Amino acid sequence: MGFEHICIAGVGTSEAFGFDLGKSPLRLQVEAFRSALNDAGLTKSDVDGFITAKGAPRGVDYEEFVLAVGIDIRWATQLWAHGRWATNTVLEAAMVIEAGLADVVAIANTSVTGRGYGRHLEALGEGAIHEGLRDMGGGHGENDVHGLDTPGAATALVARSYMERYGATSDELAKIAIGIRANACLNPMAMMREKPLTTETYYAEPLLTDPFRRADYCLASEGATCLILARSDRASDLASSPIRIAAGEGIHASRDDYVMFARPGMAVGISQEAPFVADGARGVFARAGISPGDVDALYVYDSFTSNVWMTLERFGFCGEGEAWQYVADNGLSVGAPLPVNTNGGLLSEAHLLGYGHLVEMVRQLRGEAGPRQVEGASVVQWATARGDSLVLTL
Amino acid sequence: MTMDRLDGMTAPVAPLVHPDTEGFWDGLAEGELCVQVCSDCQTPRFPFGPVCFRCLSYEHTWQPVAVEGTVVAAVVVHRATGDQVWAQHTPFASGLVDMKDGPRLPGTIRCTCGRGIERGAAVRAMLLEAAGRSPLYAFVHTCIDG
Repeated sequence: MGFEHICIAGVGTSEAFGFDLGKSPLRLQVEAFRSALNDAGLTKSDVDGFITAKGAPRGVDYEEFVLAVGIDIRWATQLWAHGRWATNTVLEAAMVIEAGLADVVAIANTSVTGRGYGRHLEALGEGAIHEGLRDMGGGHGENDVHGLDTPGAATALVARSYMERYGATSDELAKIAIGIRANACLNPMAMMREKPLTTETYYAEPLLTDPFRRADYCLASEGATCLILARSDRASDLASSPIRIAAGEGIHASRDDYVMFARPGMAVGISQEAPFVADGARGVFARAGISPGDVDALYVYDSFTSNVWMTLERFGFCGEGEAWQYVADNGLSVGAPLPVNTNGGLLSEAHLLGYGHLVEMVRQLRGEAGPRQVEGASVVQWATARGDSLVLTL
Repeated sequence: MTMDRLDGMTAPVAPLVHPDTEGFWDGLAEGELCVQVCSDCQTPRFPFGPVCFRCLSYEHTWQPVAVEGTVVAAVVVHRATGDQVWAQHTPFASGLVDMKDGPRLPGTIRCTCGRGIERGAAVRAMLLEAAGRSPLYAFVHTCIDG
């Protein structure tokens, strides 16, 4: 029970990802849009729906984009600047098309940084996301007055809690960063493609917030992505194989499931420590008509290394407290039993808000991933520690 | 009970004090660690806020609680990557503490022996001077506390 009448028709990115590309967010987003149109074999006049999240420190507002590229839309959604919305934007685009509110929806997102484009346009400043300033605690578990004022410092608390509870050590944390970096080294677009990571180089980097070192943190980078969704009956017009959305699962949130990069039961934020029991997030498998064993490659929102442990457990690829051992035994590389983040992820490709993973999933299903191609990939899954997920198939 | 004051240290970031949470900060200013309790269903409310998450009542009181607690998880910040006011304080420990009378509170943890950041470590809340109208609190491990 997926979106039988809907497909991902095309994907595209900015020409490069980097720390300082010297281009405006609007320019980057246009690059991604043109690349996705070309990939889909559609023209801009086909696009009548647009979904975006304003990037950091300042992305592109929907109407600014509409003016710049000269499109005429009848559906727009603009979300909060975050890497949180990859699942929900795709599902929303599918629902909008299904409901007849638009025929072709582009989902475009851009990030620029204070150290990059922000330097060229001083008024942007650092453009901090003010979520961390929620005085009673941010969505990652931040608490400014107590010195945990970044998502990384707050997520270190999740990793520490997991390691103490289940016996994992920094050696196992390192294996996540090393495995995903190895994938990035096979991706010509990945920012870290020429910087292979070993246990030695991992430990040579300083601790930022114990247990996290630099390689446990995602890249703060610039770049843009675009995905175009359309009705499947347009498939004959398309330049590339249409990709099917077999099933989706939206973002979960509750008082017991608040800290974004912890699965439930982790006793961070306000939730109590509890044994982890499979929750509704796994409903995505039944709706897609698959089991975890059918997934050929998994794509995880890897803003921090420990997210991989959280996601593997939340979606049942291993049992509670077993993910660290699972990764140590199986690895995450393209050749692993379950390859994870074959693009290099947010850790080593670029911080593309999760959409970079979706672009990669489409390319894997089409067999376009070159040296990092997962042989015979026919079912790929996007999943996050928050519980949202997409299953894509040919 | 009145909280002890942690001398010689100042919190670099002052708490935001606003109508939804001011009872907590007012309590600290008077030397009491308080929690917000719903007047209708008696549910302790955390995060502090304008409404009971269980019954949606606005009515509440601020009730003093014991300062003792147990560390749930804590980390050591070695490099300030956010607000640079923290740079001069690194390394410092910060984490979550389950209070004896509930709820769980976030806070920095002062410890000289290293064991105060371990799961289960016994700590207590003390007053910490901060800029602005209210003091803050910090947790202190028994190695300092005696």
